Amino acid sequence: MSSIKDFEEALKIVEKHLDFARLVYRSLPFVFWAGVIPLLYIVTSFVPGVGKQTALGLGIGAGLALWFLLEESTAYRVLERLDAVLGREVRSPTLYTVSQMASWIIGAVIAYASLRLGLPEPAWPLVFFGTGMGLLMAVDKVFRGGYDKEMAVACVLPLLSVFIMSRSPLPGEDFAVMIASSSLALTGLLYLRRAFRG
Amino acid sequence: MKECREPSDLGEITKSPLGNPVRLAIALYLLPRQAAYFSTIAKALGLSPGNLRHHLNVMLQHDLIEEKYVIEERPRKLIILTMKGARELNKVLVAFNKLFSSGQG
Repeated sequence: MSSIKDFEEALKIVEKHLDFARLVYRSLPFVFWAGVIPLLYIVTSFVPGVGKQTALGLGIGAGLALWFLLEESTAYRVLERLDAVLGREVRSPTLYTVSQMASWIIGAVIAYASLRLGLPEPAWPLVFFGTGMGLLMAVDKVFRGGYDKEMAVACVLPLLSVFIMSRSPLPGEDFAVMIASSSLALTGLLYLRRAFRG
Repeated sequence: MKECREPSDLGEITKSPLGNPVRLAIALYLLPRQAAYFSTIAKALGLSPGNLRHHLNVMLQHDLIEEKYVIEERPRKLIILTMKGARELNKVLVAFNKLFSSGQG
């Protein structure tokens, strides 16, 4: 019965298309932050005084995060629906979102604690990104039953870079920003590569 | 030769509002998009406005989609797939998959 075979084939194609769309949507936040972080760093570098720089950076960063969440909320809804159709729906979406936010807060606390434990100050963004992403993976594992392995790059690369930071001839902040940005860009690239390879 | 052997899966499909191929196509068209205009869907799927209206009404009755008016140079209707629509689509696709895999061998 060739029509059944055709239909089966069509179903596979539909699934592939949906998976493609899901991966492209998943790559969006990584690509966004990979571009925005160095820009933010450059903008704040024009402000004199380290304290003012940090305050301005955190302020603009929080504003950008809010803008991005509002701007991409529709895209997030599409991703939610795509996950539902592909059988990867999150059972408690509110708790999932809260856990995701908590991951970043815990990441910040760990970064702060690591400074207290004697880690050089410019290393905090690396610890923050690395632990934040690691916790996000754990949240995905709990709520979705699995995580995208692409996210591991954005977790492992910043954390490993902490150990070689002192050997780099670059100033610590420049090094941290470059590592954070490139690990996010690589994660986005890996998502897109998986999407295009099918 | 593959045959459909699971009447329960077939029943799942025929009972679902997305068991109709046109409505299934509309849902699949809407899913990866954030929203789509009525005229865009009609053009993309080669449906007459009357035919599309009829199928959208059925989907609206089952809360599978929502409609929003947007005012641009003229009022236009935006069609959005709801979460319920996505879940229904998942049910139908799973039933289709089961139907074909149960017919293998």
